[in-house]
Amino acid sequence: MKKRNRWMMGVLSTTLATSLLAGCSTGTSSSTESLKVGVAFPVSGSLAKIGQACTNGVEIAKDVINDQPNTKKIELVKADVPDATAAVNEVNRLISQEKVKTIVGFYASPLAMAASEVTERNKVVYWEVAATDPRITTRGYKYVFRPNPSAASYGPTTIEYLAKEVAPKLGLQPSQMKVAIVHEDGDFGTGVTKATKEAAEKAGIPIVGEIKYNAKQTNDMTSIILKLKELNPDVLDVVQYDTDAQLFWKQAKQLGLNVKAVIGNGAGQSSDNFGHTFGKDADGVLDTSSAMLINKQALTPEAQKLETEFFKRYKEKFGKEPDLIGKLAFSSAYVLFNDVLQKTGTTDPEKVRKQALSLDLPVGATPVGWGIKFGEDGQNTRAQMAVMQWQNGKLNVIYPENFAVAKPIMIPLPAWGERK
Amino acid sequence: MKRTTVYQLLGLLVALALPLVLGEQDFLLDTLIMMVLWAFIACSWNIVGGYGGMLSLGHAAFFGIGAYTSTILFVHYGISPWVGMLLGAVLAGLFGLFIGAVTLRLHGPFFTLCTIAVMEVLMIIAINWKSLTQGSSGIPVPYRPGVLNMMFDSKAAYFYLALALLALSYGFTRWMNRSHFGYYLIGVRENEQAAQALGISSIRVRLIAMVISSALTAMGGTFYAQYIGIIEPMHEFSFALSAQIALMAIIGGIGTAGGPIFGAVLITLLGTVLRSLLGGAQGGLQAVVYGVLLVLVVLFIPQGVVPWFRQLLAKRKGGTVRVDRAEPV
Amino acid sequence: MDIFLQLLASGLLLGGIYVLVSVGLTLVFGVMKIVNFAHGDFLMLGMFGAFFLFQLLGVHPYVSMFIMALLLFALGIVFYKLIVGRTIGRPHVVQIFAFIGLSVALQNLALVLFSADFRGINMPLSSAVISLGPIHIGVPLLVAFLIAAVITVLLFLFLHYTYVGKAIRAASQDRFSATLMGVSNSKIYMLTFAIGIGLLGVAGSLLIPIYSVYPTVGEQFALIAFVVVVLGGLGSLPGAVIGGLLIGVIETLSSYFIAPSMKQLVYFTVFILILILRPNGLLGRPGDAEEAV
Repeated sequence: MKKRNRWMMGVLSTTLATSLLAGCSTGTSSSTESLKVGVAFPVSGSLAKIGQACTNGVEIAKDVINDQPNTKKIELVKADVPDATAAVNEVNRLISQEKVKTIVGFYASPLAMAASEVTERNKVVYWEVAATDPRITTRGYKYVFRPNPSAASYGPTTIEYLAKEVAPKLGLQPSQMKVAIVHEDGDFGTGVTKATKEAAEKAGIPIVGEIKYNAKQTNDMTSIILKLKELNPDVLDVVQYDTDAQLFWKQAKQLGLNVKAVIGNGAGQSSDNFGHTFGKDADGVLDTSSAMLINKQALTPEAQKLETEFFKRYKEKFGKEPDLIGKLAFSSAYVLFNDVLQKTGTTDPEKVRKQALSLDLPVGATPVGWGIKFGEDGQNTRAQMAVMQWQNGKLNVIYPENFAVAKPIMIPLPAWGERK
Repeated sequence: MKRTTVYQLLGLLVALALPLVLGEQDFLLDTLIMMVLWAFIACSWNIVGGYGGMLSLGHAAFFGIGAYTSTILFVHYGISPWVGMLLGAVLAGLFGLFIGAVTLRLHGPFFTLCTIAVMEVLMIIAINWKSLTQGSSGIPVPYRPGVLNMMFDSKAAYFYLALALLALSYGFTRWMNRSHFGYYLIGVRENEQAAQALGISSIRVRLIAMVISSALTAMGGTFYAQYIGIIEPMHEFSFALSAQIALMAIIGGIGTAGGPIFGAVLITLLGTVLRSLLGGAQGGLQAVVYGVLLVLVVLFIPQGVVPWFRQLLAKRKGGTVRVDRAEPV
Repeated sequence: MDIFLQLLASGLLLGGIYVLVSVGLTLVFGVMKIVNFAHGDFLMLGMFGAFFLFQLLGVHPYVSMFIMALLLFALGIVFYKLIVGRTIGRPHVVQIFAFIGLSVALQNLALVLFSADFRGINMPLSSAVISLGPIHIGVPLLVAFLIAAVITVLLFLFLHYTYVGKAIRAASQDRFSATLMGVSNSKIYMLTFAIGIGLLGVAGSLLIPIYSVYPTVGEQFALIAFVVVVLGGLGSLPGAVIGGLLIGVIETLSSYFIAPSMKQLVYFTVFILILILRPNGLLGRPGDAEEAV
């Protein structure tokens, strides 16, 4: 008696549930008019904040296209991919149930690595708009495209700026300029740091110290700051997330850590929160990142118009200002929808791939200032990084010159005691 | 007895036939594979957590050891994951033996806290030992299909492999239900002094359970690595993963052979269904449902859904049912 | 020498924070023999409360700490009635996993309601500093340290010199005899749990000028709180103080002299060793860990 239900129940519930599932999401036969595109970001879990921003950006890109006359309409099928198993599962759903042939995603690198195997095996185009892990485009996959730069691009830009602009202002040769790196020990921090160290070696800039820490488990930065005081670098290069960047800068002030320049690499120093929390104390901090407010003059007229439209629509639809990552997602998704899919008129992977590889947009053609020219590996070779600086509570682009909206200030940084 | 065997065979047949019925439905197969994998791991946890009453919340440690051992051997030295799976199981078994030995004096929440701490230590090591583990960016497993590489073009193959693993741990727990070892283990859980007075070596019994459970969990780790294609410390050694494993076993019914399977099926389905229903909407809701469900189950049907349902059925038929215990410890 | 003194001072201040988030945990365990695995999530609620009181109504955190203490005390009573009370005297699996479930639910409810944003408050206090010669001390940390000291002393006095406090201690030492003496265990438990959670309201307000709040912020502190109370001896108030200060100092020193990314390895190793070699902690009552029913 008692044992009889065990298998029965297991098997019954399995078959029942699967048939239920099959019933509720069978491949909808869409009208031949619209182009179906999958959108998969982590919109729940610990990555939700950025995942939601990305989804919003892609949605605005769709709205812009669909509101234009004479365009093939874009239809989005959204999915939530909070972890690697969910990513594989949902991508399988998009491909086998929803019959999607192009997927925009995934933002976090482990999700991207797991899901891209599924897309590649199924010959589905995977259009990455946010992840920076270099390995995404270095595995020889045919159907992966990434318009945005990889983590390896932060370092060279940072070093280039330090050598070209900061060293002369400090009255030093690059070989005399001591740089210390402080970074979080995750995927992002280690990836960016690796490229920075390589670039520094090429430029002959000495790295006098590298300190790493766990961003989630660090409640006090005293020891890090004291070590930095001992190293006494001229320039501090930091790779930090949001909360740790704030704790670091707070304690740097409290403990009187004085360096001649501080340069961040996106994330922590790019976040609005940094300016909110520190106000005037944020001024002078540099930040290498994909640009947010770049000089409009550097954009083509179409890109200028598109940028204005994006800001307007985003605010209307979501009731708040977009952040940097939302704008990147918009810009890159728009390239896919407008410059690729409108030309092919289909999401057939071979045709999409061919069209993407043939793209040749000059720098300034997208709202974030980049051009588009994919290499055979699918990495955009014209993804341009910029250096920004906190000035009067705002993050202004100061380098490269054609993007710049302001001149650099406070190099060298005044000591904490001499700040106004 | 005969009847049971018939039902079991029937169940097995249906399970074996499922991929044929589903054919090219990769999504459904993927969901099934995940169900079976988690059922296997929850079953393995159940040996220690359910039968042994040692509530580990650090089982991800063994999962991670399995995943990392086979992947490092495969990626760096080209050794087949089949060998890596066995080596990982041995390594995890030894580690489980060590953990079991040093925690013999610890009970209840103290044992639980210790397992969490051990897992955290492994995570820190995996993040910092970069030459071996590639640090926090994790190790991607290159896709080279082949039976020797435990990588298959068809999802059905993965499904059958997962099913074989599940059969292993399910079979073991079924055997435990009737063997001396199983009775000893339950005896030690229920009343250690009394069991010892009867001449049962509580230390030996607990350690054996620990070794078997850790080794099986590690095999699940290898399977996961070969199927998903990337492993990283923040997930493979995470508290969330450990909690998920225990949660499936507890909701289904710990200390029973079938409970963890049902729990895994239920939780995986819940996740999949809620995800596809909510889609791109503001996330987190499904986890709220999990949490509340867990609280309700442990408070009101602490024996788990499967035994509860069985009791309910028996009552309705007016028959009697042998209740192992009112509540698991 | 200056460096060592600065590290020591920072370590002690950080330890003060750890004491603050740990006293409630140890109190609840001492009396109820229950490990609250959702401890960090109540701290998260406390921090969110203090954040919104400041952001929306402009209430200074040092004022809101009284409000948050009361609010969380009330919340403690609600959750005691709904969940915690039902776990008393039940098997470990019920006690542990009811809290794990609660933790999962609270974290994700916060995610749904408040989003995953990091929120910190912007006030001059946040980066204010006092310098004693070469030693620099952050003002919010110092305040948190002092209040932690005051709270611990008050709690100690309350437990030793009031009728209710004595009843609580009686229940913690021998629940059966206490019942015989006319102490209502369930009321004592409810009160203890509510005090334990209420203390996190104070902690939340004191932490918000220093740290940002987000739905999973509790994990960052809960794990350390476990280490602290086990080190000091689960259930021991003086133990939590010593454990907290010790972990704070160990953390800053090991992070300076070994490596910042290795400091957790150091304190988790200490944690595991203490659990294995002396599960009652430095000041715990013998038998607590073995008994722990």
